[in-house]
Amino acid sequence: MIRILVADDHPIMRKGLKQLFSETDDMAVTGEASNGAQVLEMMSKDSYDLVLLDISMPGKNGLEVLKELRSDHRHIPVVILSMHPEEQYASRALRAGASAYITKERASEELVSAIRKVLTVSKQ
Amino acid sequence: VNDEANGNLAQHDAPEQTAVRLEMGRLSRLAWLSVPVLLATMVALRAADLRTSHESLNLLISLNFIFSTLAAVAVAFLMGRAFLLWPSPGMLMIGCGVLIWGVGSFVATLVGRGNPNVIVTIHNLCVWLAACSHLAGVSFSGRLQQAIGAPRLWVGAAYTIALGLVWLVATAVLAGWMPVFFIQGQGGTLVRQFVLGSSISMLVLTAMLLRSAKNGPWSAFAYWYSLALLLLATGLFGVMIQSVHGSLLGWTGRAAQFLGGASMIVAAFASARETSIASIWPGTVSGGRRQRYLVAIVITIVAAAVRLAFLQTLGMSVRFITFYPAVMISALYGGLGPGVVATLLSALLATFLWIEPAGHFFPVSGAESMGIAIFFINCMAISWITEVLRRAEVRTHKAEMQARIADERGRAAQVLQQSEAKYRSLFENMINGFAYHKIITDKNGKPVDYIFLEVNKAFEALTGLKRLDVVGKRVTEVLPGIENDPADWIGKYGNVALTGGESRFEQYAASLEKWYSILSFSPVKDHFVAIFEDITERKQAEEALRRSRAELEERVKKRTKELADSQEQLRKLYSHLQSLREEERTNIAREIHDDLGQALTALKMDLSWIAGKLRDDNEGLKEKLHADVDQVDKTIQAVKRVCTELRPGILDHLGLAAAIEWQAEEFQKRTGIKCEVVFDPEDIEVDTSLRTPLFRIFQEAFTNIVKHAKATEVKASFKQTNSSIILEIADNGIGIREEDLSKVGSFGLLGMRERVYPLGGKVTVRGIKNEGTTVEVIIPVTSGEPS
Repeated sequence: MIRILVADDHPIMRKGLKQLFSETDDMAVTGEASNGAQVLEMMSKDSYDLVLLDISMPGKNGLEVLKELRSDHRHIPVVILSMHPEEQYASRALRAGASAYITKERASEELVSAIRKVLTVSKQ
Repeated sequence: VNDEANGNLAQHDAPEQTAVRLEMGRLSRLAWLSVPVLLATMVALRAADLRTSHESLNLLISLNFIFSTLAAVAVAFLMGRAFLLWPSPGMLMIGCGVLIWGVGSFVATLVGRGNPNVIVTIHNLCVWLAACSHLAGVSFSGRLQQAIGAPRLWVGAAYTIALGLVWLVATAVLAGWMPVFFIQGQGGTLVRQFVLGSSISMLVLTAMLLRSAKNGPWSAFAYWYSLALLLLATGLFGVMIQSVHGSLLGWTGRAAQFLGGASMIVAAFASARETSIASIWPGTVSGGRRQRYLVAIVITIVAAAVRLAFLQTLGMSVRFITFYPAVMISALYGGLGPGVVATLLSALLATFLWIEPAGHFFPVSGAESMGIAIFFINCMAISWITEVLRRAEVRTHKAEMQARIADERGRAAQVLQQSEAKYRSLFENMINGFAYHKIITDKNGKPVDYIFLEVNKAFEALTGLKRLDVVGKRVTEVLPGIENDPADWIGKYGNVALTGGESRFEQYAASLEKWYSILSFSPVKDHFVAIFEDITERKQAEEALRRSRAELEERVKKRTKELADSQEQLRKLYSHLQSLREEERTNIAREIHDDLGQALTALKMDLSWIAGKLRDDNEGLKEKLHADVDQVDKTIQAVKRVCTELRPGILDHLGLAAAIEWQAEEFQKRTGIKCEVVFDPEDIEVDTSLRTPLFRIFQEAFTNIVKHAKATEVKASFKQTNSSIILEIADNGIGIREEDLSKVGSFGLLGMRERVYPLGGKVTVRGIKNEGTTVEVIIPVTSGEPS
């Protein structure tokens, strides 16, 4: 089972994502955070196989959290799930250490396969 | 008789005449003593009846020429000139008479060849004609004086006739047409005595007439000329009573005539002076005392030499013949002293050279002693008379000069008085204050005070000081404390008075509480004049103007400051509003984006999920769901667009460089204008406070390019140096015009400027026609932070 930490300040979004993963057999949302600080806190308590980060969050934004995660939890892949389709976001997120960048619009279609791909790559 | 003729002039010269006559009174009367003295001498000689002849033709010619001819020519010239000025026939007659006498005497001795009868006849006839002419002249003087044309011709004709008469007489006598006048040894014939007697009478009468008519401009001339005529008459009397031609009596007569000639010369000089022709008479006697005595001695020695050299034929007789003229000339030239010296020397020389025993100074015989004594007395008398004449003449001259000077002084004083009255009036009525002062200095020559010498009315009016209170007083008395006035009045005026300069200045007089404009100068050393006017009102007006100007300036300064303050406030407000607006936009954008956007996204996910759950046979519903998903998608896009336009999230999430990069891409996508951005350094990032203004400027520049530039390419650069951040956007469009830059309506530019103002930055916009426009923003920073 792939344990996923979902970080998004919108509960509706988290609910949608949980629903999305429930459709799969091997993925489950095992942790939910509504801001960056919470993410870091949860990461230090429990173990996750993957972190799904939103960019727009109160307090530290996703990219900032990503930078911290890259230094403290280097081996856990992070996938950015963002509302922003602009290339600038994606390039900066990938440069900062994100394993993938997916816009929320495309989440339904691409997220699950993207996560599988990420995990496959990270295991190698 | 002359009164009538000279009345007009006599009136004019009245003061001078009085002075002259007063001076002439006693002294010149003494000259007349020569007449009785000579007469007495002649009578004595006639009684002694010395019959020896001492004739010397050469001497006689010489003396005649000097004392008769020259004197006559001088008087004739004078008369001729007077006639030209003032055509009275009497003058011309006197001129003719004197010419006949002078030339006749000379011609007689010249053509007589030693024949006493010829000499005497010519001489006596000429004298007679001369006397007639004189008497007629004096009688006619003053009559028929008007309207005689061509006076020069008259003078020429008259004098020619006179000379013709002399020639006629000489010719007649030489031809023997005349009766015998003189027989040597017996004396004159009856004819001669008659001729001479009548001549003497006429001359005396003429002299008396002249004497009584000595008023008018000819007074001095008349005076001396009448004396000359009397002397002539006396001389004629002498020769009339002589029995031997060339006797001592004869020579005395001749001497009297020569003295008459000398008197004529005096008259001529007096007349020349009276008619304003420079006199040489007293002026020549200007040599020193020693010179005058020397001349006397030389003349006497020359006389002795002449007697020795030329008059050898006379032997021991007529020893004194050359000494008489020597004494006369010496006395005339040098006065009494030289005359006496000449007399003494002559007596000694005559005794030594000619009186037995020769070579001794003391005569043995009584007769010789008496001769010497008579010579001595004669010469002393001549010297004395000449001295008297000379002195009288000098005094007359002096008196005349004094009178003339007094007259001129009087006239000058009158002119001065008039002029002074004129200037006094000017002085008193001038509107400027005038004060004349004398400076007072201390021992070291430093000016310490000054005295008021004179002030005018305006002075009183302008200073409020009364003339009587200041004139003669020191300024420190009049205005106590003036020495301590910082204006240093005494020093200033002292400098003018001591250096003789001029000074103009405007000064406040503390003691009088007034302002004055002053011109000060020094006409005489240690004195100065101050001419001034009261300029207090002007100064007050100037002061008021200055004050009001200063007030105005102060007010303007205050207003300017207020304006600047209010501008500053306005800017702050603008800046605040800008940031508020930005904040609001950010908030709105975020709210819409996050809440609405997220909700829509979640909705889309749900719809997609539902669509996945539907059975494949429910095609209609599936289709409907897909359409809804599309619709939600479109709505999400619209929401994003709105949010981005409000405030691009990229600016807050990724920073300025990313925002610029994105904006450039968007711009290119939207407009098709090629856009290139260079970052230097590549990972450039600036302080968050700079993000918004720089991004907005960047946006504004792009907006302008789209609106106005007609560009096909844009090159932007974003640089950071040690001291500044430089953002440059350059297009290749038409180039902004200079006049558009300053347009009030160019709010875009104004907005850019206002955005960087709080940051201390600067926006420069340059346009080159058809080459493009460049917008450059420079923000100063210190170590990466905006200053």
